[in-house]
Amino acid sequence: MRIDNASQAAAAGSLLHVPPRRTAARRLWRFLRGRHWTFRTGIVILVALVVTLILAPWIVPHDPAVQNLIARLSPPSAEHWLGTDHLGRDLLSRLLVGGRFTVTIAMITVILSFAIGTLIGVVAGRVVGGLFDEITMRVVDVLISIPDVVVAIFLVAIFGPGYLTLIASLTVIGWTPFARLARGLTLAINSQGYIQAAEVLGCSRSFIVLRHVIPNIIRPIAAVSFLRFGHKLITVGALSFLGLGVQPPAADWALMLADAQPYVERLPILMIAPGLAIFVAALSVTWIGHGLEIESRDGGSGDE
Amino acid sequence: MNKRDEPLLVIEDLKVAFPGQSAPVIDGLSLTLDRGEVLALVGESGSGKSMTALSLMRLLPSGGAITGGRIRFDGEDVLSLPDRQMNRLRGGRMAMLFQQPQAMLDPTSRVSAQIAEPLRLHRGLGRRAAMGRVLDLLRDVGIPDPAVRARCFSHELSGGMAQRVMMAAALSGDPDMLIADEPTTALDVTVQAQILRLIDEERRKRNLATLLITHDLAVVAALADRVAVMYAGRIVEEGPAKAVLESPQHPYTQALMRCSLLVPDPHGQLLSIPGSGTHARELTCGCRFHPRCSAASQHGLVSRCMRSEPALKPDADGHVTRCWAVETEKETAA
Amino acid sequence: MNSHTLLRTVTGDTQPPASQAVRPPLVEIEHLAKHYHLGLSFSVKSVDGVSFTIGQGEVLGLVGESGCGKSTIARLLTRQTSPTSGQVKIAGQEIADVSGEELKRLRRTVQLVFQDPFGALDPRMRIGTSMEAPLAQHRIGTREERREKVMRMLTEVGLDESFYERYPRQCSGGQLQRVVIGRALLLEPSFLICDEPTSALDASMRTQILNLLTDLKRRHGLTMLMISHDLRVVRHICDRIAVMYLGRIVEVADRDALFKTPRHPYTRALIAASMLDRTGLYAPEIQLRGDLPSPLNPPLGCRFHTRCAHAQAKCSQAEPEFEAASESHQVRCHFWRELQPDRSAEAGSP
Ligand SMILES: Nc1ncnc2c1ncn2[C@@H]1O[C@H](COP(=O)(O)OP(=O)(O)OP(=O)(O)O)[C@@H](O)[C@H]1O
Ligand SMILES: Nc1ncnc2c1ncn2[C@@H]1O[C@H](COP(=O)(O)OP(=O)(O)OP(=O)(O)O)[C@@H](O)[C@H]1O
Ligand code: SF4
Ligand SMILES: [Mg+2]
Ligand SMILES: [Mg+2]
Repeated sequence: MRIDNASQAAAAGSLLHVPPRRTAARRLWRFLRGRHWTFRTGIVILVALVVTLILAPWIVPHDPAVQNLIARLSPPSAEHWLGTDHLGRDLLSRLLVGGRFTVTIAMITVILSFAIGTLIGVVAGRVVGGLFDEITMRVVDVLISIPDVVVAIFLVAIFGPGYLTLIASLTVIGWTPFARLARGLTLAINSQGYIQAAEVLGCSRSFIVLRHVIPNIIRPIAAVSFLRFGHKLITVGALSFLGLGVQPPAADWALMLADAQPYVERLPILMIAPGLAIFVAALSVTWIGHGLEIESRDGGSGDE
Repeated sequence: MNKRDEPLLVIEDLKVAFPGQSAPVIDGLSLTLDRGEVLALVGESGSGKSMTALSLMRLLPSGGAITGGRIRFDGEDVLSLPDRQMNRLRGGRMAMLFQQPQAMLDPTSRVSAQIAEPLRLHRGLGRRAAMGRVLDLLRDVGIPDPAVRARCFSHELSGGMAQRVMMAAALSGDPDMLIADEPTTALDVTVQAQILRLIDEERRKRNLATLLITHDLAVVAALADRVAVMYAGRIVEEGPAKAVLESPQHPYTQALMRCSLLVPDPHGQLLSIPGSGTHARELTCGCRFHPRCSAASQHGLVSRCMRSEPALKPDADGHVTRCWAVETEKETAA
Repeated sequence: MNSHTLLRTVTGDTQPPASQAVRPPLVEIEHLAKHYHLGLSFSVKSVDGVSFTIGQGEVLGLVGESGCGKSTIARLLTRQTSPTSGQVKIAGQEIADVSGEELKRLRRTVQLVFQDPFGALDPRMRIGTSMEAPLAQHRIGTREERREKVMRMLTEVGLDESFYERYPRQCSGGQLQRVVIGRALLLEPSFLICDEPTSALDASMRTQILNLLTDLKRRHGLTMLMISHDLRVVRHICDRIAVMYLGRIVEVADRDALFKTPRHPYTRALIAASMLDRTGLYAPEIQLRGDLPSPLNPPLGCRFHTRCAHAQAKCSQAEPEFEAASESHQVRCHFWRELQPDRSAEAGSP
C-alpha cells in the first residue's frame, strides 16, 4: 500500500546538484577573509619580514661586516639610509641580515616544541590516569618551572654555542606548555560523542588521535604557538645579548642592541632600529596567534 | 503601525540561502504568531524548519544569509536591529530551545552556570537569587534533585535531561516568545506531558507565544492552536490545528498523517511517501511535491502540477493550501 | 481518500504475530550495574542489577522514563564504560575480557546508533569521510568500493550523494540522524543497538527507516536492541519488550503479551498514556501522580511505589522480586496477581 508514484523518476533526474570544487587559492582566500583583522595584518607583516630576511644577502646595500672607522656613528644619509654603527658598518645592511639567525632559531624551536608537545599531550590525555600520563605530567611540572635561558647557559657551557645547542636547549623546555595545553584540550574532547562513536566503530587509537583529536584541538594550540614564537624571538635575542647565541662579528638584532648601548645618546637610531625590528617581528606573530585564538573561541568551524 | 493590532511576530516572504547552493533553503515563507498562541511548524526532515527558527533569532550558521523578506517582532524590524539590541532581545524576550541540546550546552561549565548566566546578565540578579531561580526552573521542567543536577556537566545528563535543562534555560529570561525546536524528542510520554503543561501554563500566565517545531503530531494535537506544514522550504498548508489535523488538504500533509500511524500492510511494510524530497528545492518549475504526489495523477493534473506552481489559497476558515488538486476540487464544488 | 480505514490505534491488533521460536541468546546481561559519581557525595545508580538476554535475530525493545538508564545500558553493551558490577556476554564471550584484534572484530559486530547524532559526528570531518573511515579501519573493500558503499547507503537512508561532501553543520537534525544510522549499518553488524533512532525524523522518513531495519532483520537476521520512547515504534519492530524504571527492569514480555496484558502498573500507565484515539492524534491525560523520583536516592521498597495507584504498605517496605507471570513474561510487582489482567486505561490513576 504505497502511495502511487506517478512521476517519481522526474525528481531523481531533476537538476542533480554538484557542489563546485574550490581551488586551493580560493579556499585560502576564503580562509583569510573570515579571520580577525589582527590575523590578517600579522600574516602580511610576517610574510614581508620573512621574504626580506630570505632575500637579505642579495638586497643589502653594503657588506654588513665591512668596517669603515672613518665613518663611525654617522647619522642617516643617502649613502647609509639608517646611518652606521660604532665600527662604521652600515646599519640597514646589518638590520636586514641580523634577523635571519634569530627568526630561524625561533621558528625551528617553536615548530619542534609544537609538534613534540602536542603529540605527547594528546597521548597523555587519551590515556588519562595511566603511567605515561602520570610521568609526563610530573616531568612537565618540573621542566615548566625552569627558565629556558638557564638551560641554554648550561648546555652552551657543555657543548659550546651553535645552532644545534640553542635549538636543543630551547626545545627541551619549550614543549612543556604545549603538552599541558594539548592534554587539557584532549581531556575536554574525550567526553565528546564523536570520540566515543569512533571507538564504538572500531577505529584504531592512532586514527582517533590523528583524525579526530588533533584536528579538533589544533587551532588553540596553533594560536599559542604563535604567541610562544614572539617569546622565543626575545629569548634568542637575550641569549645573543648574553653572548651565548650569535658570535660577533656576525650581525644579530639583539647583539646590535647590546653594542648600541654606549652610543645611545649620540645616535638613538642604533638602538631604536633593532629594537623596533624585534618588536615588529614579535608583534606580527603574536597578532596571528591572537587572531587565531579569537577564531577558535568562536568555535571557528570547518576547514574550508 | 499600532503595536497592539499586529501579531507579536510577523514573517513576510522570508528567503534564506547558502552560498554554493543553487536553491534557497527557505523560499518565500510567511507566518504570523500572536501573543499567547502556539503555532506548530511540522514538515519533512530538512525542509527548513530549524533554519526558519534560527533566522528569527538571527543565528543562522556561518554562510547562511537572509536574502529577502522581513521579520517583525512586536513591531520592531528584527533584521535591521543593531547587534546589541538583538543580543538583548535574544536572551530576554525571545528565547530558543535548540534541536541539539547536548551540542548547545557548554561541556566545560556546569548546568547552573549556563542557566544562571542570562539571569544575571539580563535581569541583574545576584548570585544567590539567580541560583534560587535556577533551582525553581529545574524543578519546573521536571528534573528531580535540582540541587545536585545544577552542579552536573552536560555529559553527565541523560538525553532527556539535557533537553529539559535547555528548556529551563530558555524560560529563564521570562520570554514573550519561545521557539522550541523539537523540545520533546528525548522524553517519554509522562515527562513530555509535564513539559507541554509547563508551556501551556506559561501561556496562560504570561501570554507566552510559542513556535513549536516537532515531528510528533500527537504533541501538535495536544498543544497547538495553529499548524503550518513545510515542504522543501515552503509552506504548503496552514490553518487552525483542528482543521489541519482532522481534515488535511494538501497531499503531502495527508500522506504524512497516514505515515504517522505506523500501520503495516500485510507484508509488514510501513507506508511511506515514495521518492525523496532532497532535490525538491531545485525544481525550477511546478509544484515541489509533484514528483511524489499521488493526487496529481488521480486528478489528472500531472502536466499542470509539473508546469506551474500553485499559490497558497485560503478557504473559509483561514485554512490555506498550496495545491492544484485542492483548488480544482473547490472550483468544481463551487 | 478513505484514510479512516487506515486509522488504527497503538493498541489495535494489526501487527503480524511475533515469531515465537526460541532462539539461542546472542546477548546475555547478568546483574549489570553502573553507578556514576556526581561530585563527592552523590552517586547515581543509573543501571542497578539488570539482567536480560536477546536471542539471535530477536529485536528487544527497551522503554522507560527519561533518565532511567537506557543509554547507559547501550554504553555498557558497547564498552564505552565499564560496569560497576555484573557482566555482559555477546555470542558467549564476556566482553570485558576482549582486547586487541578481537575487540576490533567485536566492535564491528556490535554497533550503536547514538541518541545525539549531532554530537556523534566530528564537526571537522565531512560526512563522507565519517562514514567511510570505519570501513577503512576494518579493511573492508578498496577505496572505490568503500566510496560506492557509502553512496549507496546514503540513498538507502533517504539522503543523496551531495551529502558525501558536506560537513555535519550543513545538515538538518533528521539528516544527521540518518547519517548516523547509515554509518552503523555500513559495518554490517550482527547486533545493532538503536538509541532513539527515529526521534528526529518526520513520519514518512521514520517509516522508511523502520522498513529498512525490518528488512535487515528479516533478510539478515539482524539482532537489535531498540531504545525508544515511542511505543508505536517499539510495537512495530520489536519481538520482546523490556520496561525500565529507575535503573531496574520492571517488566519483560513478548510484544503482544505486553500490550494485551501489561502487568506492571508503570507499564500500564505508559501504554494508557500512549493510547491514541482513532485519529492517531489525541492521547488521554497522563495519569501518573506524584513527582518524578530521583535516581540519586531511589525510593525504598518498590521503586515505583511513590507514583503507583495500587501501592500498599508492603510496597514501601520490600522490593518485589522479578517473578514470572508466564513463561515469557516477567514482572517486578508485589500485586501483579491481584491487578486486573486486562489492559485497563485507569491503570495508574488514584
Ligand atoms: N550550513 C549549511 N549549509 C548548507 N546547507 C545547509 C546548512 N544548514 C542546513 N542546510 C540545509 O538546509 C536545509 C534545511 O535545514 P533545517 O535544519 O532547517 O531542516 P529541518 O526542517 O529543521 O529538518 P529536521 O527536521 O531534520 O531537523 C537542509 O536540507 C539542510 O541540508
Ligand atoms: N557520564 C556520566 N556521569 C554521571 N552520571 C551519568 C553519566 N551518564 C549518565 N549519567 C546518569 O545516569 C542516569 C541515566 O542516564 P541515561 O543516559 O542512561 O538515561 P536514559 O534512560 O538514556 O534517558 P533519556 O531517555 O533521557 O536519554 C541519569 O541520571 C544520568 O544523569
Ligand atoms: S499541486 Fe499537484 S503535485 Fe502539488 S501537491 Fe497538489 S496535486 Fe500534488
Ligand atoms: Mg531541524
Ligand atoms: Mg538516553
